[in-house]
Amino acid sequence: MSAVLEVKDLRKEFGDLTAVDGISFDIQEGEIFGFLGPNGAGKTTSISMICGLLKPTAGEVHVEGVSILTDPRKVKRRLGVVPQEVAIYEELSARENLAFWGGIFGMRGGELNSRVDELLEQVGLEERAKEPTKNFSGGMKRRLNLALGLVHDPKLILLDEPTVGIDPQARRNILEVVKSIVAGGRTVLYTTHYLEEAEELCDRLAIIDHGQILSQGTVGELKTQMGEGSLLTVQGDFPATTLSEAVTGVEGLMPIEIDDDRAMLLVTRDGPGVSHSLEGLFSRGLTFDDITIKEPNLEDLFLKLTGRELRN
Amino acid sequence: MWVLIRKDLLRRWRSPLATIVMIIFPLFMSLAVGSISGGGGNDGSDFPRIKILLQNNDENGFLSNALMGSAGQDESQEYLEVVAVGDEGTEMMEEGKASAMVVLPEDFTAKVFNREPVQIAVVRNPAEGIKPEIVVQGTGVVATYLDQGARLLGEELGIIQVMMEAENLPASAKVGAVSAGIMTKINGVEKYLFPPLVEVGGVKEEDAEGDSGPASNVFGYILIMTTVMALLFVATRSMGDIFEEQNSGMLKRQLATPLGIGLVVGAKTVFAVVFGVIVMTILGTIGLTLQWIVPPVDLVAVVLLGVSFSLAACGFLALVVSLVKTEKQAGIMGWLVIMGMSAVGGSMLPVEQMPAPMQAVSRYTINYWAIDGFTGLVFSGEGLADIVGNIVRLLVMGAVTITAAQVLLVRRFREVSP
Repeated sequence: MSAVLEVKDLRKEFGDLTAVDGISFDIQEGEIFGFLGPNGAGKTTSISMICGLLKPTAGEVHVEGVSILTDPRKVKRRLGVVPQEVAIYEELSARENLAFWGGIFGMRGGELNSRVDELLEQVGLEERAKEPTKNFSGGMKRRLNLALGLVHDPKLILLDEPTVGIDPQARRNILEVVKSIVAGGRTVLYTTHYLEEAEELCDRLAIIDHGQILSQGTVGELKTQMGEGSLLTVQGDFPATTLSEAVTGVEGLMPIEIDDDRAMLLVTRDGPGVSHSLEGLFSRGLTFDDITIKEPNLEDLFLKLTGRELRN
Repeated sequence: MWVLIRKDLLRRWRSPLATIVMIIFPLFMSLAVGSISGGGGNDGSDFPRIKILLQNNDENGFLSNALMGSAGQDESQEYLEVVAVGDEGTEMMEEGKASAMVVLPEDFTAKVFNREPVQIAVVRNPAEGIKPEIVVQGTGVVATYLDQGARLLGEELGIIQVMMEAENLPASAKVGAVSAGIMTKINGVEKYLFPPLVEVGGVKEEDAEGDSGPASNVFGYILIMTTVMALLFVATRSMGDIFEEQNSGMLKRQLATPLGIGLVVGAKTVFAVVFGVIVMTILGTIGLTLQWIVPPVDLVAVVLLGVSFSLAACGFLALVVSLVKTEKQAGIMGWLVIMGMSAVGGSMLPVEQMPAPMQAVSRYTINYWAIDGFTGLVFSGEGLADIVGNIVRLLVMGAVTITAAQVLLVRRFREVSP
């Protein structure tokens, strides 16, 4: 496999604000690469620089070896951009919208018509293809929004939060379309703040916050950064310092996040186990109102890396 | 570029309400203002006649009979229908059979000759708007002249009254003496009394010239004035659409394609020009169908003038759009510019009726050159050679403003915030 997208030390400053702070990653052909981070993390700014809408303050972006800075037109021909907002002409029908975007990329006649038909079927809008899109539901508009970015059959598709604000059925439909795109040999950069989507879709992920990539790898690799074991979450009336001191004295127990009244701890797999850990804490005079035990996930990793929850 | 222009034309076609309103506006204005002002052609045959009832209660009075005899004569017959009535006049007014009734009181002549206060009553028909007002104003003018005449010729009028009441014809020498006295007084005040009549004569001369031209009418004139203004609104909306595309994310999406911002802005401007020409064509066709504009008209000249005006209108409004930051600001600023240019440029009032300083300023507006050109073609039978100056001026104004706007808009939208 070769890298379709290479991003190196990409940086964007707006005055005193650093929106993207030197991120680097690459995406291989046929891969879905996820950008996981909360709102305002720098995901959209990164995509805007990758597709040439914003000029980076520093850094490089190459698509199939071509720099967006030196040859933006050539790069843009290979990109399909699906923005976060639903950007369609509501006076026009789905077919007319698709034909317009195909026309922008120089598609004409039979080639354009057959591509439009294909996409309408793919996103399930063929029966309402001639209807003005202002009559569409939110989910239908989202599906069309996605299709508009695919009409010229781009090599790399940039999907910026394509499932925001839609019902589960429409979301499922969009995720299926994304999978089918990749099955057809295309490459996808997918930004989201929905953990389940990232886990389901992405071959590799980058966790981004405050304009920086905090960690990247496959879902499995990222989960291992949490350590092997079970996640123990306790709540009660205790000071953070008391719990921290207690945890250090219990074998097989590691602190992940400890606050007053609430703590997240990892019970290592090679240690004595959860029961032993809880007994150790109780024996040091601690009591809890609530105890939760579960397998760690990306949300927990995000919390560990950033100190805050993903959806805040 | 054609893909972008076609898209915008299709959007207007699919969502036509705003366009229909912009087309209806000049038609409505033409119909409303044209109807109030008569709306007829240059021969005046379509001018609605005003029916006046004249009730003379001073039956034997010399002056009242003279007024009765002169009313509705000469050119005024085209506009006035004067009917002498007796007591039945009141009933006729109640039935709405006339615009107004003028009542000359008893002893009218005697009181005027004796320089005593006397009142002429005017009964208006409340069902009619402007016509009774014309009668009131006209009667006021007659009263003023009678009043001034009585003051000026009081002595001679007294002598004439005695002569009229005498059983025998007056001696020629006596008549000659009175006539000489009247002439001497009139000559003395002629320059103060008659200038308005001389001005009226000037207007009649213009009418006579117009009679030989095409038979388009006042509706057509107002249609041209208001179409020019409506086209400015069309241009504002077309150019302001770039903000709508920015807000909806469509602009950002377009700029993520190989299209450059220069092409996107350029296509929007070309669309605005093309759309303006389409709207003008629709309005012109309606004007022809309704016979507000009557051929022959130099079609090539009309098309060239229309295109150059649309270009200039789009340039001006594109410049306005390029200088503001939001769609709302573009709307407000556009409105102010349009109203200003329309007021000064002749879209609200014929330039000839404006004060001289305003007429001088009007030449700096695109409205002036468009209206001047179109009215010349439609009403004076002018051709391309006569209005080539108008076309060149509009093209130059359009080229300068479009270039400036293009530079500013490209700079504005070159980098779209995420």
